[in-house]
Amino acid sequence: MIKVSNVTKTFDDFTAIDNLSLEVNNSSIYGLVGYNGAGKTTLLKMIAGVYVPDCGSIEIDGVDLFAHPEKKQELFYVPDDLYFGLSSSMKSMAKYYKSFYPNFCMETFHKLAGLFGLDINKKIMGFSKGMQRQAEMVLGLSTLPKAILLDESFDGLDPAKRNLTKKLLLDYMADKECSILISSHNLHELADMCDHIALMNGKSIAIDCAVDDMNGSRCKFRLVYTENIDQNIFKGIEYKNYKTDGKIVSFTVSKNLDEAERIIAATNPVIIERFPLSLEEIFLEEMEDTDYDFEKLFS
Amino acid sequence: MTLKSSSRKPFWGLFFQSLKHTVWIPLLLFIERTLHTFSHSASDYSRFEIGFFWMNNGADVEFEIISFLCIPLGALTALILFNFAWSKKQSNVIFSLGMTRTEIYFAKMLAGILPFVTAYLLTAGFEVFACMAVGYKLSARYLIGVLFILLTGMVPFLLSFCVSSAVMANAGSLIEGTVFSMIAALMPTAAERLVFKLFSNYTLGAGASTYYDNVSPEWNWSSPFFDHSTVIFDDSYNYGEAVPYFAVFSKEQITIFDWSGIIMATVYSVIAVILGYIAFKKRRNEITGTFGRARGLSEICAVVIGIFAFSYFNTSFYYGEGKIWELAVNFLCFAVAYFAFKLIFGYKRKKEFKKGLKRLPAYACGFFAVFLMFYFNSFGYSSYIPPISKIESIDIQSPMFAFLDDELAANTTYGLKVQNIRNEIASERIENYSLYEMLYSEIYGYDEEYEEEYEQSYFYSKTTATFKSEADIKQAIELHRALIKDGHVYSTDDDACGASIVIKYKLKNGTEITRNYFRATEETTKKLLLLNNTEAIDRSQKLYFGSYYATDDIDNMPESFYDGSDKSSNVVYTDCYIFPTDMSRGYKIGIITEEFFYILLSDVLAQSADEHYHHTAEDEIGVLAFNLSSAHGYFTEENKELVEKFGEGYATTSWNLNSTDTKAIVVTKDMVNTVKYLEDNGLMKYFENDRSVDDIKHVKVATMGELYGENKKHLNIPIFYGAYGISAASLHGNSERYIFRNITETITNQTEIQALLDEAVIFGYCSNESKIMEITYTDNTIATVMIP
Repeated sequence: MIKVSNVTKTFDDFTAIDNLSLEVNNSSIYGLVGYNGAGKTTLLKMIAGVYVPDCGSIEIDGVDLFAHPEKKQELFYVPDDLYFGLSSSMKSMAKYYKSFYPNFCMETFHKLAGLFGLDINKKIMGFSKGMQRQAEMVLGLSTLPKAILLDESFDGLDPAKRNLTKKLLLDYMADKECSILISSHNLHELADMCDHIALMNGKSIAIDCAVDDMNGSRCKFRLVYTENIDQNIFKGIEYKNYKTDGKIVSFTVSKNLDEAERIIAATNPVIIERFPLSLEEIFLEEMEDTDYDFEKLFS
Repeated sequence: MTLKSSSRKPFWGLFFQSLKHTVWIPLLLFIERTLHTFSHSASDYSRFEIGFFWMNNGADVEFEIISFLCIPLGALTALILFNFAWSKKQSNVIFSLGMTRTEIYFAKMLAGILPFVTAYLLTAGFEVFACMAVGYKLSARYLIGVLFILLTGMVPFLLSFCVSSAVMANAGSLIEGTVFSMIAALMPTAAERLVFKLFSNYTLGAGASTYYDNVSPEWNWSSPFFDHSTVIFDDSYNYGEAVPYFAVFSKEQITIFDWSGIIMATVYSVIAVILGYIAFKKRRNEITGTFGRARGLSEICAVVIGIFAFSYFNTSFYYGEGKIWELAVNFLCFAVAYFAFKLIFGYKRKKEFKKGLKRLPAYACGFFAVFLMFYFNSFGYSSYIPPISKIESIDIQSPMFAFLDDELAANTTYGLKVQNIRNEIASERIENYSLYEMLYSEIYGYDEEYEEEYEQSYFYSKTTATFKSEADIKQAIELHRALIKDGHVYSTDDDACGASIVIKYKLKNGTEITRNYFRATEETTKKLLLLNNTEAIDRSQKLYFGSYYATDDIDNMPESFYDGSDKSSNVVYTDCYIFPTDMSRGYKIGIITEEFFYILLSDVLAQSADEHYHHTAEDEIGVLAFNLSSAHGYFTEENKELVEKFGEGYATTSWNLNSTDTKAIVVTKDMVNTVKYLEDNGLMKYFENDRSVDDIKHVKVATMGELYGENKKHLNIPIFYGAYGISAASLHGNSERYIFRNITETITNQTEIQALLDEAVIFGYCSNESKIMEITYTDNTIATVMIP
């Protein structure tokens, strides 16, 4: 289990992460979504031990990583920027990682490399970007880690390899009761594999809940009135995205949905429609007032 | 460093992985050194004067080059091993490994050091074997020699590697790592510069330079890359001479080694490793791949660069000036260099500038604190005088003792500038005859044999007198006490005198204590002149006069020398000249006898400092100049007739007293025996002046302050030497050297001029009130005299 407690990280005057906490349970895939610069990579680097947090603690299976860095032998970090030696092959990199990860399994390495169709004797620098990602994934899984950190790891993978990777991760997670923390700015990538998703909205986590719980946790109301109405009649409801088109009003509500519906009913609308928000809509709502590239998010 | 069992493997894993990238460097060294050993024949090693443990033919350039190359190779090794520090991709991998930073740092360090040391030791083993095969024996002395050379060869690499590693492990980019490594390597030098320059400029008695020819071997605090390579040998060992390690080597000669460089290089290496490690543990990896964010390093390097600027401009001022406003200028130089560096290597320049402004007062306080420490006695340094019971002797170096330096041709307390009045070179030499030489510490000469001019530095003359007797030592200590009492004397002070004095105590326990002064009050300077009446100076005079015996050992001079009874050698002195006080021409009187020489010596010894330096115009008779060297081998049976009497004098303006062993002595009335001898032999007529006030066109009169704006600022010792030159036009044309160029007022009234002439001397103590008079004759020749 990965446990991040009250972690803060500042770069000079800029606070990248502010008092952030999260938990990734065993046999869980935790998706971390957020726009560029939201702090996803910073958080992953802190968990991997690359960055040292200004305060807070990071534990794996209850062991503090900075007090016991040897615990990181059970953790594998696949960064966004991959590093391979200039003349390294997968085979030589396997030997390299074997020096540092006592659980490294050559058998698994060979199997996975075969599964992805990668030549372990070829120079990795000659691989395509997608192949390099596959190679790193193979190497990472061969260390048989109890925790895996994946930073934008599906970038550059073709759909087939993407599905294969997802399947592998799911199988590995189920088999080894492993904790996987995966970051992406593309919600679609994560929605179908994560059991838990957190939305980072700069410095901190805006939403952190199970995917199942999230579905239906927010609603959009569409109301039709016989005449133009004053927005103040909805006093008592915490709503967002209020829009009105004459006698038609719509907004979203994320808390006390039933109470909100009761108040709305008291305003005597002709029609009341209540729609549960999709993950995309929830994300959009959280990201409003930002300069995030929404098209890319849902592409 | 302790390694937990669970992480031992990753440590060695990183060690071996790192080794792969740098092993070629020690491998190259191993191949080169081994080839070197096996390529030398047995005969090379068996010839003791030529071969000993990598030392061949007295100067092993190859070993020297290899040692030098180890410096960049050490830096390169560090660069390769720690390049993950400025690569984001690599640092992601390295820092996410299950290792502590301690393990990462030391695995890398070990990967750099161990192969190099192993390669060196292995190839050294071959070399030892080669030496043993031809007769060298395994003795303690031999092994110490081997160890010394071994370490001499290794420390450049180790120091370079450790310093570069410490920097590169904590830098954010390649440029930072490289530039900061070079600057960090200069840190010991910068520290030395700061401390020693402030010390020498502001501590009373700690002059920046002693002008001693022989400087004793000193501990190499700085520049350990190069200074460590010092070996001192039995045979070639001279006091104060540090012989490079590659100079001479043989079985018999290896006895004394200067380990200071090796020790200091090792100390600096250890310090670099420790500091690098501490910084690496706290390293903020977010600086990786960025420029200007390694703030700690940047700050240190900015200060180092600032210190160089501080000390560089410090030395450009006159030695011993050491005024507080100069400290402010120096600090301004520091600040400019500091900010320039910060702006170049800063990440957020405006912010860095503001931070620097806040830190600047702290640095200023630091510099000022060091300054105060040095200015006020340096913990007793300035006021320390060794107890008399511990003193073996005292050397005092001052230009006033230059009478033994015959190479400078009459450049002595007894000498007058009368040499070489030749038409063709007079224009170049006129100023030498007067104050110029004293002011700018250099002398121009003309070598007639080679028909070329030469220049010689006045300061480098051996102008040291050694005071040994208890009475002499007490008198020398009195001078030192007076200098201490004077405290800091500046050239702008009313009673300041230029008095370049070095006092060097040689203690009975073999140690030496040196104090160096550049300026004193007039009162103290007069005490310096009083040393004229010491046994040491008398002894020096005897030594000079007795030098025709071709020995410098006055203690072994034959008794007959002192009582004048030794006529057997009948040594004569030729080329003797007499000058009147107007110095307008010399009379060559040919040969003088040994008898006259004894008389002259006895008068010189009897003359008090007061009579010598403070006589009046009325006391002055003229100048006797002669050339000692020409006496050697001069006497033959054929010349015997000449010995019996003086040759007839004749006036000349085309002779040269510029050669070795020339001496000129101002004859004064207190030298009664000399005067009597001159009178008895009809020589006094040659002292009569040819010129009168009627021959003078005009005179100019000024004090030193009027001539230079400050009192005797540049004078080494305030003693005036008269001068004469034949071309006023040439002198005036050379405005840079013409000291009266700013004095426009001329005196033409003959009565007034006569009154001044009645007071004028050609030699003596020049006080701040004394006036210098330039006489321009109607024939456009020119003379300089002094009115005390």
